[in-house]
Amino acid sequence: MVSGTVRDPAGQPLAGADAFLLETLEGSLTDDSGGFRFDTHRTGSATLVVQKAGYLEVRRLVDLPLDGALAIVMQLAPIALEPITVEAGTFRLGNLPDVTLSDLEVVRTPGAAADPFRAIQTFPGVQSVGEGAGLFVRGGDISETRVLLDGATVISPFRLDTDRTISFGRFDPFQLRGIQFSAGGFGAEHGDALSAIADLQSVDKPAASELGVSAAIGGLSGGLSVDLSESVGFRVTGTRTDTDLLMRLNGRRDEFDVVPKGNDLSGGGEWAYRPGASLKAFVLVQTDQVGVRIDDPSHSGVYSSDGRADLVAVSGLDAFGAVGLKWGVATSGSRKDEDFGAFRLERDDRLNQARARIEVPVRPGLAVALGTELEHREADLAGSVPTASYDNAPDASKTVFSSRESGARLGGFGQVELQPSNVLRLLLGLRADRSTFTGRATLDPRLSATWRPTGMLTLTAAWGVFHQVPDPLLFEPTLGDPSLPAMSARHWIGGATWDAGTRLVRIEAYAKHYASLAARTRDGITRGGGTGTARGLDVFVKDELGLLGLDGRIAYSFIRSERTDPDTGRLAPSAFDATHTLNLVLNRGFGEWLDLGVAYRAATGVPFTPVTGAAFDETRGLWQPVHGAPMSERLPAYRRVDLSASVLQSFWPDNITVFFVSMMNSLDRSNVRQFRYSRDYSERIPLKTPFPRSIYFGVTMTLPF
Amino acid sequence: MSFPYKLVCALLLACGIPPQGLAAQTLDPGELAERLRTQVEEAKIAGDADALQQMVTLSRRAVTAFPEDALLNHYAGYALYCLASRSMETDTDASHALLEQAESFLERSVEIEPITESYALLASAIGMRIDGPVSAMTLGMRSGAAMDRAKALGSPNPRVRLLEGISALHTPRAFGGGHEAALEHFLAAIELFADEAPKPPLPAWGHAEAYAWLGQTHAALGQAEAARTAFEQALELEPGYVWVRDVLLPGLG
Repeated sequence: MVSGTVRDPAGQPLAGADAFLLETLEGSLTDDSGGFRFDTHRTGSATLVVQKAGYLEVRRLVDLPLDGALAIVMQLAPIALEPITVEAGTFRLGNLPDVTLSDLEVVRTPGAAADPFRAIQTFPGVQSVGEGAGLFVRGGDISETRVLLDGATVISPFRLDTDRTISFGRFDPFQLRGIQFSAGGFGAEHGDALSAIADLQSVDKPAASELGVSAAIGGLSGGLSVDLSESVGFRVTGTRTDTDLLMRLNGRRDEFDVVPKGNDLSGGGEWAYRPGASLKAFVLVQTDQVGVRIDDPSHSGVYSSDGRADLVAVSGLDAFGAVGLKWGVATSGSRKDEDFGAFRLERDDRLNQARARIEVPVRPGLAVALGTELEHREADLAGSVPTASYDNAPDASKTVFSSRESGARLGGFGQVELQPSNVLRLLLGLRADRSTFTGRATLDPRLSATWRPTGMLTLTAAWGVFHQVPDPLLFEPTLGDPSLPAMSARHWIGGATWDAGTRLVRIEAYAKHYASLAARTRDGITRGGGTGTARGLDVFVKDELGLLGLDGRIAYSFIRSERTDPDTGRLAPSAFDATHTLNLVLNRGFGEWLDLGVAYRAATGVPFTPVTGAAFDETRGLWQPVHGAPMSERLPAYRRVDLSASVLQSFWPDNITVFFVSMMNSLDRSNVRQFRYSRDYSERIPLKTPFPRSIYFGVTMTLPF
Repeated sequence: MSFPYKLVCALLLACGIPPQGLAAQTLDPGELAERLRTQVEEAKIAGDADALQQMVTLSRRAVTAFPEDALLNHYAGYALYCLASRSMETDTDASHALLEQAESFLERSVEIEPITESYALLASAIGMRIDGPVSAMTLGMRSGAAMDRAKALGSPNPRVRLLEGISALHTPRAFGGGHEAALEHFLAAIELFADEAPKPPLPAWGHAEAYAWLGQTHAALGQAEAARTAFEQALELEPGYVWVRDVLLPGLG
């Protein structure tokens, strides 16, 4: 007879645990009091195994027959070391302050226009600033979010990313296996980022060979996936975007001389040359153009932008015994020509990079990671900016510049991961970087802790120092400042996550302190030495409302942030300070073929510096604005409701066809994105959203072969 | 037991570590697989949920003792799959949780050795979790890929055709499913069952079940007599087939 009791670390009896002898498989399940009892004919040495989901397996050597009852204590299974990856249209939170998104969550997010970055904007910690795809995270500027693709930095992750146009992300959600978004407090492996990390992972080798075709009112796309063998496969996709028909349908064609258009060619492949080891490549080439008609007080004309971007990223992972290796080499390029009146900028950027990381599990509960990265950045800059920002006429006085800025950054990090108990995880990291742009080295210590006092509750805390080298344009000798140091930020984060399976609640509070910020004035002059703070609270709730068949998420962010205004040198609310941001996304499936979604987004208007008067400039014959206190007024509140529907059909065996339609800004609210002024600045004219009520529709189909 | 093995065992025991291979000295994985093959089928035919739960427990123990045995992983997945099928209509969440567990055992099974039935069951376990257009797009592709692997592994297999038929019954006609497509698969499965005799402990499940599904498909198509014949053939093979005897056959009226 073998008998005993099984309890959890708190001494509570565990029912349903399986206790058995490894040598005979005889055993029994524990009852409500945690007791087990079974007969065996075995004598002598044996191994008692006790198993229960969520707990570490117990193996104990026993000598049969037993003298008495056994007392077994089961420990909770360790906290997962990696954030849980999203699959099958559901998402969960990892044990780090990260949110993960699947490709289908991106596509199902109404109003996101199948743009991964716009879908990220519906998550907590991202402030609503305008209608573009930019990620303004916890008081940080768009440039403070580092975007990675398979670990490689993408220097220009947004297309049409200019002051005069609405930006879009460069990546198609179906190119991506998942996205890990960290709104702060990230580990020491990530350098050169002040605020956030959007870590995009490209798709693995295709599971089946298929052709895919998509046609929408804004473009055409065709793709080929080839599953060559169990271990090798690749994909190629080409897209032609032309919004002419879309703009005509939505009554906006007249705003453009050249409607937004572009071409994309992307591809990727994977070779899993042995279990746990693979080689992956991703290639992307994109072009885009736009010509938009603009009326400024000093000049009416066409703002034109012509851009091109490319990315080649090769990465691999392997293991040598217990030591894991991840490596990558990549080149990311971007060329952009902008022209409007006296303003002209031709900019050609390239970032070449190499990185490697090893992970060594020293012993249970202790792992060490070491890594290094080397980047070489080159920026060719040429153009002109008006001497006075209020006079942008083609014949206005202007400063002409032309230079090549190039430099390298060498970074390294070490990170220790400790799990002193099954409910506690500590991450201690240190990274060092040296940039030839700044000529200085920086040191970033980072700490984070995760404590799981109960099965459903997880408490997290993080602190760290973060540095980022300013944009090469700010080092340009004519208008820039070659002596700028790296910008820095300190993050403090504390939070709690309640995860009850279908319902998840996460609350996180944070504080950030900035130093050595660099920014450009209205006249394009670089100013360094800026400071700033950001404090806020993010709340996230995800639920599956089984009764109504709905699943949805609500994200609310509160923030107070301020920064040094480069024009006055005074601290003022930051331009990204949307005090309250609320996002509600609901989806409901009907049977196996129809999916409906609705998204509601509301945010406090962001601050701006008003023009309070004007003086007439006799020599130029135009009015010179007088600006009020920096960031002393706010735009009206932002509201938007988006609807979407998709219908799934199959027209022949193995075919999947998806028809989709979305109505953006369904209530046709005229959100104000900025103010422009009459020629004498006496009248303030709201510049309305570029997204009035708009309909977008299309179809995508696959054909396996 | 060789001296070096004894020495290693002695050292491991001295350190308080049970040697992993010790179980292999007293249990035979082939015998365990055969026991599971027989008893899982008996529990399924008897419609005995408790016995199926016991088989899940036993198969988990067997996999603990022999984690690298592909057939034991297969039967662990199959036992969970049978248990999940019973609760699919009454408790979908619990059923999906069991199917996810089945999926992990079956994935492990095919990692160790490409067993046709493991791939086919994997396809079915994934496919049964499809409950809407979104899951259809993700799980459908994975399920289809696993079924393709099963079909690519060799000669026609009756259990693959059986699972294809069940899948067709749960797939809208617009996506290549429907009763006619299912009927074709079940008839083909039955023909293949007649000619096969898998060597124990290889998977042999599904013969009577194919008649049960064939009968249901006939019934759905309004062919009551053909349905009755199919159910009776199922009972000829397995007289104690509770699902057919107590549910399907009386259901014909």
